[in-house]
Amino acid sequence: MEYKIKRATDENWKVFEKYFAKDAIGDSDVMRREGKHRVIVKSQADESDSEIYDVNISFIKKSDTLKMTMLTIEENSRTSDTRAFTMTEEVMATAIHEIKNPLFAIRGYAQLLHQSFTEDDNRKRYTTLMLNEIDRLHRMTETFLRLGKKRVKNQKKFSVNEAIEEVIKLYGERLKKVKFEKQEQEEYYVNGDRDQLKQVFINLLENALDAVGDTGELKLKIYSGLDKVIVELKDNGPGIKKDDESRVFNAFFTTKIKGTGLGLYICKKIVEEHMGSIDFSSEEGKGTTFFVELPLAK
Amino acid sequence: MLVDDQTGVRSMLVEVLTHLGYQALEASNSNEALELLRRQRPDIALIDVNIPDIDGLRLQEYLKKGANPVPVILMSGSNDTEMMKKGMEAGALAFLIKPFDVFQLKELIDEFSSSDLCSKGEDKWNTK
Repeated sequence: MEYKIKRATDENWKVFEKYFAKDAIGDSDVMRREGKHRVIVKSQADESDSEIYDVNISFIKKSDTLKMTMLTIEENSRTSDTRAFTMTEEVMATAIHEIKNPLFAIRGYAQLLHQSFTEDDNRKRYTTLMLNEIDRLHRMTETFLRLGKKRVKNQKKFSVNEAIEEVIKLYGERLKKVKFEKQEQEEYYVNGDRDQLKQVFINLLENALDAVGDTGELKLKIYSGLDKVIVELKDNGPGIKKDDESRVFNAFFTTKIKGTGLGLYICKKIVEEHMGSIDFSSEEGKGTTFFVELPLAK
Repeated sequence: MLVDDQTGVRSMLVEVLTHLGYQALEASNSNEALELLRRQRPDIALIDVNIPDIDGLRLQEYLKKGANPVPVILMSGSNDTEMMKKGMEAGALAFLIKPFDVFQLKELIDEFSSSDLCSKGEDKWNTK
């Protein structure tokens, strides 16, 4: 299909132009108008010599001309594998965002229903459950949106101890109720996205607090091993069931009533993106210990 | 006055407001809202910031102008702190992040709207 592309003021156009001269577009095979495109640029001289680019494009149809509004070239994405297309992050984010509106409408009606029943009415219980589930769905959309956001890695050298201290402050009130102990050998520095790694510790601490309730014990240790810093968080909660152990890091796996099953999944993703690892040991009835290992900054 | 481009959400909020004893005028965008304002003056406006055409913040600006400013409550589907700051600085009474507890609206409206006109059953939209 041939596209008439109106020159956009967008500076992305320049990038596009650089990669795909006007002639090349005519020869290329653009699979869809919106979303992720695989553009195949064939060489005139040798048919078998083709270059493949994955491109994110979205067009808005304006009369008969397609106006390019956004375009990013994913550098280094030259590839020759099959043409399966993936939904772009942008499309995902929009879709998720659109789910939030009807969800809010449903929530409002559920609240109206909920209010109309008396406490001893079974239907009151049903609407409570409905509201809980709606809120869970909403939290899931929020998490998806966060996941979908382009991970512009903000690589910086920072102190793990300091980042963890900030997380601890966030949970100050809840930590006061439990027996909380922290040990750190010295100050350790890693390279990475500080906010993302803070999110890892937030998720782990949140889980640990949920596991122990108001009366448990938490032990946090920060120490080093070879060229790594190890953060260990131990709780004396109910532990993880043997059957569940293999699923702990799976997306959507949760044992919490209000959980989304994405917390540890995200932790693992982030830690692995930082060339680190995350693992746990657990004994039913005794508690769980999570370990996060991250390479020390040189 | 309720301004939200999402039909489902708007209908729900109208239902809630009616249930709470208010009369709601609805508009799906700023132009419709401006059209309504030519005829009636609401006691309070509940506006989604992300409406098409003119955005919610500019509509708020318009409502705040003049001798008889209309109090505004803003709402948004996204937790955009920058937008919240802007809205509150521009004089919004509250900034609600959807989904919110819809019964919260009662407290807010009763607290902020021109109280004598707001009692149940009165035709509060009819101004001189």
